[in-house]
Amino acid sequence: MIKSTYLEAITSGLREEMVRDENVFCLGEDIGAYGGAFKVTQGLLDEFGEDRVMDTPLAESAIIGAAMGAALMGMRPVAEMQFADFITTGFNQLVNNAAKTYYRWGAKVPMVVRCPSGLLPNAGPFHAQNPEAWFFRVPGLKIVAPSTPYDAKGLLKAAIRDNNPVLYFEHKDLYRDKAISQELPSDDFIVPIGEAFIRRPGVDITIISYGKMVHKSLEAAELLSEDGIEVEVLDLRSLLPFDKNMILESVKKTSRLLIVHEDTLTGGIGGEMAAIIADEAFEFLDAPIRRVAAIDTPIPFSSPLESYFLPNTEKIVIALRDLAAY
Amino acid sequence: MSIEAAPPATEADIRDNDLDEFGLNRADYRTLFSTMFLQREFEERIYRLFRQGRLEGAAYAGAGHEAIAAGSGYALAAQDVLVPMHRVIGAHFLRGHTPRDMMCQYMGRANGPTRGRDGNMHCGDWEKKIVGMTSHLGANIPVAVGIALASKLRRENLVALTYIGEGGTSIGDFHEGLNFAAVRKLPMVLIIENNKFAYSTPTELEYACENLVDRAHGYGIPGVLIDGTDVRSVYQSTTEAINRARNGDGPTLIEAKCTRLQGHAQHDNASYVPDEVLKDGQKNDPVLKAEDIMIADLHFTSEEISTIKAEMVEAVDDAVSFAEKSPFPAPEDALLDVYAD
Amino acid sequence: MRIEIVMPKLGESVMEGTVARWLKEVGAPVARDESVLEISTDKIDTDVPAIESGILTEILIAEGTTVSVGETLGIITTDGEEVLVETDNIDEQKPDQERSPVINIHVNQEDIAISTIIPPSRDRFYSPLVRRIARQEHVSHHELDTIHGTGINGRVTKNDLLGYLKVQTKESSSTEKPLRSDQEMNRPYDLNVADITTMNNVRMSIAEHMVRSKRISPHVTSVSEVDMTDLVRYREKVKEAFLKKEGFKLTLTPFFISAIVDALRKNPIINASLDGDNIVMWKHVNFGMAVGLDKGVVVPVIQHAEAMNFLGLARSAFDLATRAHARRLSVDEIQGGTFTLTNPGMWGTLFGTPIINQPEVGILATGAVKKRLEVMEDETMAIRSIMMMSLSYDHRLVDGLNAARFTESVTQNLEIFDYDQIGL
Repeated sequence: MIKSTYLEAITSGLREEMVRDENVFCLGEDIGAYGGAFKVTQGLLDEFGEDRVMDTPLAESAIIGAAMGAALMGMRPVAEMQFADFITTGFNQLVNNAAKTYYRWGAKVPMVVRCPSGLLPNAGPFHAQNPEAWFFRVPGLKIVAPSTPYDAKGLLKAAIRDNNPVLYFEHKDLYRDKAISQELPSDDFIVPIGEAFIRRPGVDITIISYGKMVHKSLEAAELLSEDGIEVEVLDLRSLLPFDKNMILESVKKTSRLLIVHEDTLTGGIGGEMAAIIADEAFEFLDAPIRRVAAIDTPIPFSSPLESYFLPNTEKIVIALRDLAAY
Repeated sequence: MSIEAAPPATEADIRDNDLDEFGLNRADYRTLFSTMFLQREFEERIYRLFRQGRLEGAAYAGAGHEAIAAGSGYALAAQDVLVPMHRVIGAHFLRGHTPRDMMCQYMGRANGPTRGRDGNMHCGDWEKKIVGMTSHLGANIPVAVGIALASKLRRENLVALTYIGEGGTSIGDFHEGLNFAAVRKLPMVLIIENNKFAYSTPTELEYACENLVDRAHGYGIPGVLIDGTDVRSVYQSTTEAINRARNGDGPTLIEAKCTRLQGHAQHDNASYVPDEVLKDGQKNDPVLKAEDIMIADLHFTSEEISTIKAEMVEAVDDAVSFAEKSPFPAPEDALLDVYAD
Repeated sequence: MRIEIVMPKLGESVMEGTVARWLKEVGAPVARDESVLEISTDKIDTDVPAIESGILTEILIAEGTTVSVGETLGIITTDGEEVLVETDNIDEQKPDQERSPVINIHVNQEDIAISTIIPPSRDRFYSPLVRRIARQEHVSHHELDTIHGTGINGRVTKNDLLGYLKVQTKESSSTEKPLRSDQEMNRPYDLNVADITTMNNVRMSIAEHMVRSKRISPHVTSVSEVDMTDLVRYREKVKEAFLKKEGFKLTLTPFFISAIVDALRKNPIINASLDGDNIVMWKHVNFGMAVGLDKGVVVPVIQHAEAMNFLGLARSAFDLATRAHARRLSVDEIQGGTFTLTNPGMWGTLFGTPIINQPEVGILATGAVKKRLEVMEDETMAIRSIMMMSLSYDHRLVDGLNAARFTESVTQNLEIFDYDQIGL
């Protein structure tokens, strides 16, 4: 067992897969000698050489398109977007090329695009976004968003081994968060794509969340517990496909549902999940389905604006209390 | 008709087996001309089927591009990868998509290469080393780059050949892809099919440099300007570029000039093309030019030419009747294969 | 073989085309791929070549006419073998798909039975979960309405309902008697000594209600006598005039109702309900009259009876009883009652021990009116019309003293009836 931060878990997952399969290679901006903007790929260049830890020009469309081309050839590229925000400059390659290729002409595209996402304090509108909603509605893509070091490592390995294009959203603010460090097994393990996980069992209210908001949800659940309300916190882990069965089971047990995500409210994936549950678990709901999310604005820079923008433990607690009292 | 299934060599072919200055022998010319004529016949038939209400969707014929299609397609070795666009169906034929395949593809049948998932020439088959094109023209340039990248990383002897129209050179992917390939000296060849019009947009509204191939200098790679209506020039320049790539010297940009002899698509009558441009294009019709070469330089008789043409017409007839009898995919098949296992 | 010439779709946004010029006349031969007509569309003018050789036998669309893509313009008739005409009309290829799918909705018989009896309450909101549990546990809407809600605005939550159900089962005897009559008979029998049918929904509903009522309320029945002589004589005297005036027969029922309503006003504890630990004193008297039908008993309710005069009560009672027999009561009319009158005397019964109609706390049964020899106050003897009256009451809430006061009040009202209020 090795104690790892979230970031260390990603690095070791990458490293192990590159050892395990010579077809796995990394490409992205500043990932080689510099070790990546967040140092996720630090040390990999020395170990694997510049053919497998490749610094690319500043060209997201070419990075993603080339990853697809290499994947067609049977390699397993792990492309990095320096910030998830920059994925939009490669949007077409992902959405129209990579996602549709297997469906259209039967060629597999086993590639991973790693995207450091989510808010770091004062990162502002272009370095803090959670872009999963843009891709959630693209059949052919898979999306994962781990919240713990264990899941970060296990899901990265699963993503690399998957024969489809997988978007891997790693939350920047969790990288070095000591509070969530975990002891990780030293032998090989994966976390299957499409499976959620109950972080905290409960009976009164279900929270569905992912990424950093899982931890905020757990904090809120602890506070509610003092009032005798036991909140079940379900960590989605995979966003596409997502674990509908586990969600339905949980909602049938608690009959009250709160969806929490750091992405903005309107058009965030929480809305789609709410629609599905309202449809399939209507007769198990004792209260309306509610969401806690960021407000519908670009991400502001200045601290007071930013904290108004973001969901946090307090806002989750208020929403939970409202739901409990309904 | 694939390279493997080229028309059988005749006695004359065997007699006259020597390679000429372009590196081609009589059998090669037979294959090249057949391919060009087949493309012309196939695409004219497609347009006719549309006018008869027997086809759905859209068609974008490559009339005027046949030399580019056949000449470049023929230069590929078996292990090389073709990343085509829409006006080089002749290259599809050379790599193993039969007329029946392409007609079933156009007609959306279950036994077409995409089983009805995509239309017209948007088909690919990795086993034949053909990449399915996307409608976002230029998007496959980075894909060709990636294929070339993998080839280099694995030390394979494989080259990626792709195309772009002169209009498509304006898109960002042209720049990003070509730059990436140049920086990493990747084994890729990019042919600009400059047919003077991007749909209705003439070249003077598309780019400001004299020739697009001038941009090669900006990327630090060689650029070659050729007559895209001359199948020999196409074959020769593509061969050289492929060899250069195979030798590890990186990508080449080829600009092949031609004229689009029909509208952008079957629904476009191209009235914006000035008469003299069209007349000049018709005078330089690559299929007619190839026929002239066959007769004048290779001494094919007019009977041999007629036989070749008749065979190609028959191949298209056969393709139409085969495809029209082929089944459509079941409606619920739409749900299948979104993800690979 | 007839081959259709159709208007082709030449561009993605082209929806129609115009026949510009027919190049052939009717009866003319056409060769395969020969142009038959010229068309013009928004995007392009072009010709339409024949699919097969034959004779142009019909021109269906004249020159200058604009038609939609896919419309038949003319017919070419060939002789000889069948020619495949693929018109790209995908619907034609797959005829099965044109029918819209049959949607099977499985309806639970039970659900219909209960929900047709009682519709959603206008005043209270029940969440989908609460309604489902209520349906599964056979908690009628009437009952739901009586459950105390701890949610926002007094909403009945899942826990409220589950708590209520737990209390119900706790109050049943320790041997866990089931609801309704899914109690099996202990006597074995074979089929040739009995005919067997399943209880219908109404019967099951009544059975369930009776068992539950006895389980919920400790019943005490007290019996008293009423001297109905004056009332009976009065009725005899005015019954014809009444029938003429009102159009329906004057029975004893409206007298009973009037007397009881007044007694309830004076003894409001009889016009109440128990909701958990709460005593619910109803502000109105919603008077239920039990009506015996072949199928079973139904109890139409006169809403706000305390606000009606005698005639109003009489009319209302007649109307409800008539419609009860005709099975034309609406759901509103059989819910919300606060007290019930039943009249077994109609069939000659002396007195009964009626079962309380939950969630009320009292039910009055009037017996047959019988002529008896009575010893009067002044110790003379007289023949009087005497009726026995039995009140079953819920001893959780109502004590003997309240009950006695109430029945005394009813008795007084009937023996010394204010006939003037009738206005005859």
